[in-house]
Amino acid sequence: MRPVRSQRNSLCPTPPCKCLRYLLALLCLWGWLAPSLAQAEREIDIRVIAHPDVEVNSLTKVGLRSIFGMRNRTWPRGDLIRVFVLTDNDPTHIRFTKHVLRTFPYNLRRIWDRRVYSGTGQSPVVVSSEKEMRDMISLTRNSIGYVSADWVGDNVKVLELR
Amino acid sequence: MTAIRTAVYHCAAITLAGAVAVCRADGQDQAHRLQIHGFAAQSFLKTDSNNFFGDSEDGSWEFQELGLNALWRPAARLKLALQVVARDAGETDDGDLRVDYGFIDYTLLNSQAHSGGLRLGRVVNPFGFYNDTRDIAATRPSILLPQSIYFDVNRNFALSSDGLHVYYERGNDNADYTFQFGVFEPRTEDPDFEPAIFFQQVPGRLDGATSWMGRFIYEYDFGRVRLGFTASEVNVDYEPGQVDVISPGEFHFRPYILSAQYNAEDWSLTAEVASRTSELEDFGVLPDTDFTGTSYFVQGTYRLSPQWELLLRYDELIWNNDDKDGREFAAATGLPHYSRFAKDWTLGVRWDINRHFMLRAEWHKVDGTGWLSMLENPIPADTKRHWDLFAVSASVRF
Repeated sequence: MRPVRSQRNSLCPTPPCKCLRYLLALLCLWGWLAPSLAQAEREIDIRVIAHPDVEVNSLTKVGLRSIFGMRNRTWPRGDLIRVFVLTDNDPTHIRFTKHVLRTFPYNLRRIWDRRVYSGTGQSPVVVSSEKEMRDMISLTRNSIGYVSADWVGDNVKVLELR
Repeated sequence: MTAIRTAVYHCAAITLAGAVAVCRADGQDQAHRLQIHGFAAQSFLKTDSNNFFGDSEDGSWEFQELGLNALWRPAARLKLALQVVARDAGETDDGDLRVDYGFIDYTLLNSQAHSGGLRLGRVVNPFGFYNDTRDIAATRPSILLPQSIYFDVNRNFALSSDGLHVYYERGNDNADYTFQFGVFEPRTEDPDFEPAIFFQQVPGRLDGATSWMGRFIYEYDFGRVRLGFTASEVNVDYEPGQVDVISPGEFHFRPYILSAQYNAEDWSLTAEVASRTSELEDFGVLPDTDFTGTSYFVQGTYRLSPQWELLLRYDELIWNNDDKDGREFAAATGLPHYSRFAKDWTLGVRWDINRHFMLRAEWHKVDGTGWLSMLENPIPADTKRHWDLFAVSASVRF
């Protein structure tokens, strides 16, 4: 242990307390800037996608919540909506629930569980990657899902959020 | 007396036959129209005195839950839901296979803004926040639900009943409203049901009579704030046995429940309070009685991470508001006064290993025996007023 400690001291010429103060200031600055920067970047980073034949081109926040909350189960013409989601701990899923649906993954999971285990509703189909999400949406009629912008392909329809 | 139940079964059978015919005629890919889910849990309970779910004083493994549920949509407006469960809970439940719920749901209206319809059959009783999914460990806040409102000794009676329900859900900008109202006959098959009413085994039979229940839930911002109100009158008739001193009396139970919950990212706060009026009428040898009790709990959960959750709860049950410490009851019956209340502090931890597996542990410090089973604690004088309960459980769901 000792040789390591002496090595570190020689690398940092400033007294430890001053070092700490700089670090603290830097942390404060980062803490203040990072969330707003990251959030602005992330909000536009998620795309709600649907099968190309889906008749709808845009959705309101209420409409999106009622679809992903598994309350509204049909498209306007009466076809059953097929909802796809990523796993609860997937970073894209977390961003989608927090910044697009404006809730938390645990809350969404609870909403689905309540419907499924009381016999009053179904749960979405869980896919394990964004590639699988895009492929499933392009292959499944009446489907809806989401991916980060990099994963949008020509064979899916991007829904505009109003 | 069982007119509702008979009518419900006939209607259900006709609709089911119709649905099968529709489905056959349709002939196309039906796979996504059927969803099947399941759950299982094994718990271990240890108490320092008094028994809960088996011989818990020596450590009990007698709390097992196993279930399968299916939801089938043969047509866009039609749903069929069925849940079959085997549940063993000491003396209070036998582990036999039975139908928890099985009903037809017909959608009358469905759009982005609202939906509504009818449910016919054995329908889950809409009361409080937790009854609808009370058998699925992951949807409960703890291994044992707050007993003052979700009594486990009368679990089948509380869970579901046979009848017809209407429901309506509406979603506005930031608010969702859910309303459900049902007319039904309650289930009276719980082994502990008779002792809960008569404090002893009786020669006759208890039969569900026409009852009703309604619940309104308001949710703000996709469930960040949830408020609920439940009102009900549940009626049970007594059919005397061949040699019986008790007359054909009636038991009326009228609960009102207020529920509130706030869900933040890392923590949730939940509280429910219930006023319960029980009335016994025309039992002959038993005097007509009428008393109102209060139940409430306040519960906080804190999520350390998406996988780890801590729980702290205070739950209190008072059987009779006019005799809170049970002294008058004790003087009249000779039973312990502390059997008329229960004050339960619970500390718990939950670990979600993944979305299928969960482990849990909790510790209860209880003052009073108000929600203990009479079957599991047959000699009232042997029960202890102050007791501790420790429980661990492992559960799986898909």
